[in-house]
Amino acid sequence: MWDTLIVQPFTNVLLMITMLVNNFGVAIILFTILIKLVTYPLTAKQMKSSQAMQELEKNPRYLKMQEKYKDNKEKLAEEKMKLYKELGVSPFSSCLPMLIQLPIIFGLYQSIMRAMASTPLELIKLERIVYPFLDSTKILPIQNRFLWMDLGQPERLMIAGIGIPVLTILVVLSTVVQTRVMQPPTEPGSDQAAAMTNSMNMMMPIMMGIISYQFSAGLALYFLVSNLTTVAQYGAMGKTDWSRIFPWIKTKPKPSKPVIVIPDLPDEEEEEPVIVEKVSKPSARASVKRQRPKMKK
Amino acid sequence: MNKKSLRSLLIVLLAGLMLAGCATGPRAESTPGISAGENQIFVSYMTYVYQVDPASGMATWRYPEKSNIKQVFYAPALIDGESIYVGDFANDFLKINISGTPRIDWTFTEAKGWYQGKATKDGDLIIVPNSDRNVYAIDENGNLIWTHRGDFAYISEPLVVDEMVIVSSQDHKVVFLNKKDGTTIREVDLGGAVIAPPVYDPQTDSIFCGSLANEFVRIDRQSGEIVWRYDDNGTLGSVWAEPIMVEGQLIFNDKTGKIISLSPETGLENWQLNAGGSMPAGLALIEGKGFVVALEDGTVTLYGLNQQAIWSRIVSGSVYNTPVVTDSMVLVGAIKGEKNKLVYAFDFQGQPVWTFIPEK
Repeated sequence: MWDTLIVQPFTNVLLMITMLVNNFGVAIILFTILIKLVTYPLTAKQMKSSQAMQELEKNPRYLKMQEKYKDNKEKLAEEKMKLYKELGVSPFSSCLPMLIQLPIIFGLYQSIMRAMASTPLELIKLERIVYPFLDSTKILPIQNRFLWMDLGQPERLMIAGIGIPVLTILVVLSTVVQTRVMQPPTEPGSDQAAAMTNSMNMMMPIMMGIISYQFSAGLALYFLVSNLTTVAQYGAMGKTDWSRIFPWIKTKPKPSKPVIVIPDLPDEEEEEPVIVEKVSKPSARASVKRQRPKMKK
Repeated sequence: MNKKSLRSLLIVLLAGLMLAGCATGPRAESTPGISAGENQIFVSYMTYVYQVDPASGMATWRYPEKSNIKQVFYAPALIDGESIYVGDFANDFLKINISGTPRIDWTFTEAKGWYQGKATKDGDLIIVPNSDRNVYAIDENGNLIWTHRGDFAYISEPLVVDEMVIVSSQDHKVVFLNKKDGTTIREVDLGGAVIAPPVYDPQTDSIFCGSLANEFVRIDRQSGEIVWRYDDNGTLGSVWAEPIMVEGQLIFNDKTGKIISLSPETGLENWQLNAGGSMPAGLALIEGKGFVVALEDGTVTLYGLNQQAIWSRIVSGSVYNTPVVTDSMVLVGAIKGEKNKLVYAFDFQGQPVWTFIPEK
């Protein structure tokens, strides 16, 4: 089922691109970019949802609630859910696009690994999943050579008899950039979140580096292109704080956003329902009205 | 650092270690490499080369003593007296002395790719294909004599005929090399990847080989001309294994399970039978009895030359390798079978003799 629905079509698209451009390395690059473009709406949605959650966590009512119910986790959870409902924010809405993307990412990875069949057994298995309209006779096995690399082997550029893992270095650097680009701004005083973010920032490039160093170059190439595409996508959304990656870049202070009014946290004793202003996109006329200064009579 | 952040860091570290652990070995799936000599059986699989006792099917020793996840063996060992030659997926080619406790005589480390095909020996020259697109010729002391650079990974056993080394190439070609220096004499394009090793017939002084272009050909060794092509009127499937030659017949199979007998001289069909299932493995000849056929689903059958099945057995797992015939047994390698059974031995009457299960 997984193979038929995900891996097989992906592998065939990859093979088709390979046939068109006559180069497996270029095919991996194009295919990764293509998949990233197809999943862009999901990425954008995921980012927007996670930003909404971040905004919410800065909210005084939210912070007050955290403080107030710090010893009553059940109540805290209940109040949080209430708040999410009132504001029309779902804590899971940033997870859903990611969950949808996961099979695509796994499928992409598996299709690249499948297409790089390097043993007769792997070739037999690859031949089996090639669609009849693709001529497996002509296409198989795939020429794994790309630039100085053998995409089926771990990459090393031999310079003066020393094998330098250029692709691994590029993967590590691009992962550093990517994690920083995607990193949410941590709240001052939020040590826990900062520590977690820091450990992720440190571990991800190391992990990716180890995998790229030891796995085939084709996979490392996919990591590199995927990282760069993600950075480009975040950059295109205009949400990237480049000064976090390149400290010499000074960012202009952003104009302050219109304040979203969130009602104060009701006391436990209060029975009266609280009137809440629902957060929704204000109409253009309404926002103009709000910004217009009151005329003195 | 508070408890929660410490826990998160530990999870990330653990995930990192797990992924790093997964990444340390070569990521390739393959089948056991079986080779048999006089009263000797060797099986290359995963992180070991095993010497298997032909009487009991038990491993008498294995190399290396302690497994190394980076050193993976799938290429069948070349047996040469008291030594075996075998390559691994750590890009090393080893000469192992097997007279007592196995010990390494030398290691050839020039290659940059995996060793998947069996080496061949001619005099004191050892010729071995590698996936780094090179064929290496090494002397008995492990010194490089020559290298032939091709365009694709070499994965099949080279053939030596007189002063020629003939090797199948995934680059759709059968390549003829000068045995002295590895220079190319000629290349014959078959229109599809050639996975199976070529077979030589001295009667016709020809090379016979099938390809993934769904064709089987006879190549004149001297001129390199394709004398005839056989495609069963366009219905032949891809050919993954070498043919056998018996009683003036050339018998081979395609992956769909068709077994075909041709005249080596003319390429005309003598007979054809269907083994009844997918069959990437080739045929194994038992002199005076017939040939063994192993289907991918584990059905092993001995056919007489009259095309009648003599016996049939089923082994657990999938079979992709051509069975190996010793002086009294047929060895069938399988993967993903029950209880990790790797090699099944049958006598020529089809009675199971033993199964080899590698120790963990």
